[in-house]
Amino acid sequence: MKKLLENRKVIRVLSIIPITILYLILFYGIFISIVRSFGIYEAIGLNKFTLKYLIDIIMNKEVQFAIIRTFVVSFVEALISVILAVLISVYLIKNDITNHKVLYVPIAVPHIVVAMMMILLFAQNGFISRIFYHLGIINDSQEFNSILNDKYNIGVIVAYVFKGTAYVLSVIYLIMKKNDYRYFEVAKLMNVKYGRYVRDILLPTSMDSLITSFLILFSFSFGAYELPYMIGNTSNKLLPVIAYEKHLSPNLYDKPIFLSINLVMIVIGVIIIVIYKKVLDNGYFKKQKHYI
Amino acid sequence: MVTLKNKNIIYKILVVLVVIPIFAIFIQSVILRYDYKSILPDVISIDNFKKFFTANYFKLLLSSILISIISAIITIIISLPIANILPNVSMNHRTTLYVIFLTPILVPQFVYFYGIQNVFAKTGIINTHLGVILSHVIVMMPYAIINLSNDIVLYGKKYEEVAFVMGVSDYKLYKDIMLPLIKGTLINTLGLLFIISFSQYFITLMIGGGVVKTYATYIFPLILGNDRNFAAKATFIYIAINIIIYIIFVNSKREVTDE
Repeated sequence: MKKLLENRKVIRVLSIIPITILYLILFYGIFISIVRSFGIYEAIGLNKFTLKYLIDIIMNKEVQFAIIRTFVVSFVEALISVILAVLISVYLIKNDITNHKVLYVPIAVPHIVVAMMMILLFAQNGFISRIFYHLGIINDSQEFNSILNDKYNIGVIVAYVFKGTAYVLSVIYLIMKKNDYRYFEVAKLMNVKYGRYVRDILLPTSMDSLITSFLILFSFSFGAYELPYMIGNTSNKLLPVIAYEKHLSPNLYDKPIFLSINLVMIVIGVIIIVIYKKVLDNGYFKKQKHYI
Repeated sequence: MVTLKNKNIIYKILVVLVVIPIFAIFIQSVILRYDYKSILPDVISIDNFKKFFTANYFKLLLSSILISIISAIITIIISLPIANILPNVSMNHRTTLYVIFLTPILVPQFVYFYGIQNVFAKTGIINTHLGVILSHVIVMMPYAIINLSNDIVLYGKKYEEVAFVMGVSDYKLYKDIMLPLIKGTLINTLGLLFIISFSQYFITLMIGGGVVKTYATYIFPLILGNDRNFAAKATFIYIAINIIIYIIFVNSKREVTDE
């Protein structure tokens, strides 16, 4: 027994058991919800494989619109964050601002606090509305078109961009700076214009990280509940909010709706995983020693 | 003629954009009454912060911080072995493993929150502190694995081979070679994990079921309520803890090397 414990391999296998168990819990949980969305739910007396619920839900106009709405919000949010982060990163590198730690602070701000900030600033009696009033742009707080709870969920997008840009910047800046170290002198020597240098060298070499951070942001906002619930529209709800409401509902007819929404999210997750794997396998990452 | 000093003006605007929302929370937390039509706040007071030094409130804050610290430490301890093994795996398998480890980040979180809730309900650790801590660990595992294994690839591997040739035991390898080399990242990661755990609201709600209370679940209804002054105070303390941890732990070392 003592000899066994001195064996390097045995110790290594033993040491990864705890994390393996947690990952098994995670995958088993996802597996259960897939099984349930195909109509096998023993707790409420269903044990036949069927696609009926799923098709019913997918044909449901309300859910269709919610899926499209959530997709658009997540996509727009992730795209704006990535573009802004690239612009800021290039700007920081060009002007050689190395001490810019303040810009990463939004990473440490929790989502519910971001919602609080949005409410304080953009509510109808918030700070911006007051400033507008005193500048004479509006005559009454009712005239202020708040982006909170608005029809297109712009408030949610703004809040996600506030956090997302800081996250992408923290990933992209180091990679761009590293490539700038390598190639800037060469580019200067060859008399390349700065715009071309960014387009042909800085962007392609960091493209993989851009794609992966886009995927991570997209997936997060597709499944996060806090912000859409707090500052999203109350009639044009986003998918996570609908899902959680149906999940809590005591009405048994709501269960299939919830499970099908869950399945839609799983499908999105699988698509994201496949793209992510493709990027890891084929991209620039492969030549690097480390990821992200 | 006046010349405007507009060096790095965009950077300054960005800093203002980041700072203003945080500043707004602080301002709101000291405003007691503020009529819409008046330019400056009518009643300003800071002595309402006294409410937050009562025993009940302190207990909540402490237990919440404790949950975050415990789950961060557990995450580090269980992620370290796998982060150490990962660089030894061949490239093709490694990308597959990476994707598997990243699942909690890549799949929309609602899906696996519901999954974890099911499994925990079956094992009976739902609505307990243990359940909440384990669920936080599951959420944070990918961050720990990525951060640590990146660093081990960069610094540790070459020394590990030397140690292996010289016949050093695994325990000594960890204690005398690995840990000193990756100490910086370890502290960084610990801070980051604390912030992630301290910020979790939804998973705590789903697994804790309202029985286990953390600071996030306490201020969530406050933010949606009517007393904006009180909510701002509670939020200000929340965000102050996060940002202090962030400045001390996470943002301390950021350097670019051409490795």
